[in-house]
Amino acid sequence: MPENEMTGNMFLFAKSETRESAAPVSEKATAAARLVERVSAGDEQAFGELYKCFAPMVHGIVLARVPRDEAQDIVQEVFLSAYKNLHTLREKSAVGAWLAMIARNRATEFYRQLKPTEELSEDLKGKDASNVQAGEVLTTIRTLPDAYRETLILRLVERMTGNEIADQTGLTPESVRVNLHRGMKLLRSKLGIDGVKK
Amino acid sequence: MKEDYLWDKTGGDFDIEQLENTLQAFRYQETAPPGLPAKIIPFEAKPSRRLFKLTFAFALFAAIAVVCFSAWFYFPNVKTEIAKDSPKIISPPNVENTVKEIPLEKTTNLMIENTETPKNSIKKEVVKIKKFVPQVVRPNKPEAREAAIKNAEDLIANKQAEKPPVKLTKEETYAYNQLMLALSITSSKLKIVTDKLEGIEEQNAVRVNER
Repeated sequence: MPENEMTGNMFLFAKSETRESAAPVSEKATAAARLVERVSAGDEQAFGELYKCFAPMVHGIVLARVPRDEAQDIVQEVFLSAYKNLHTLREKSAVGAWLAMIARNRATEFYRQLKPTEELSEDLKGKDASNVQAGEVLTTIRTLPDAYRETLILRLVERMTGNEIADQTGLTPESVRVNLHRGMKLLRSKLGIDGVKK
Repeated sequence: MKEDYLWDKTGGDFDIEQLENTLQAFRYQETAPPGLPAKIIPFEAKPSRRLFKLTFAFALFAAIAVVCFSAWFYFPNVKTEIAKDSPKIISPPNVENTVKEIPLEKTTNLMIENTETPKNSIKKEVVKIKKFVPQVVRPNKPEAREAAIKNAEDLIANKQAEKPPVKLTKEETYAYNQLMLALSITSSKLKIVTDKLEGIEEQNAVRVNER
């Protein structure tokens, strides 16, 4: 898909998100808001729950951008940063989208602070053939546009359903569905599997 | 059916299932949440430098105002006495028309302080008038100049004779002495600065070294 077309779709999705923000918040969002309030009050247990709930989503977003060895550390940094800046979160129910945004920013920051080193190729990291294949698939997913690769990694790596992705990232279910289908189509064509086993 | 599996894992899709299995190695491994900092210090905006400068300027202005007011409050009698007794400008009677042509700066030479004894002040005034008159009277008329000097001397002598001697209280005398002391210190400092600027001090130092 051409880059311009993708950008146009992103814009449309952003618009639909704005329209949906007027809708009543779901039960999950209310629960998340309560959790955030407890964390704000200094409840460490609530912070643990928040971490358990959103860490896979944050991990997926980070993994879509940075080397997998760095992902775990960045996830921890994201949650620490979120805890320190929790007072800046206006809409408590949108904590998932907020965390996703912090994760994206952290991943960008990682490349800014990165010293000039070269990552070992996935082949050299392990001799296991399955790992090599996994590395190749992940590298291919990373070549996809941002919106697709993030959604695909959350679906294929973190094994979240479309609704879960929508709930946690703050995207609308329609946006997630479109991203999944278009991203999968692109991935299939890049991997050469077009509905048929390679 | 395939679309459903991609969306909510219902049904089945061999390719997607295979991809899921392949990518399982990268899946998030559950770990403990990070340790929380002991205390969160909220960000506090620092006061700007401009505000500090303004505050400093205001404080300085207030301090100057307080000093001036206290000085005015402490020496009001001295000031009024001096103001009442001191003649402002004395112009020779015969050369009034000529004096009008003199620039304002030159007339300041005629300011006479009346805080000394009458005899001394008369002598000083006469000297000042002798210095002043040649400037205002035309040099090609020596008779007129002599007459102007004589008239001025007579006028000042008459005025001083009429005036009773100034009597200062103890506080006023003390304040006057302090003022004179401050002026002398200031003038000496000024002289040092002037010498330094003109290089006289350096010349003296060189002379001392040569000796």
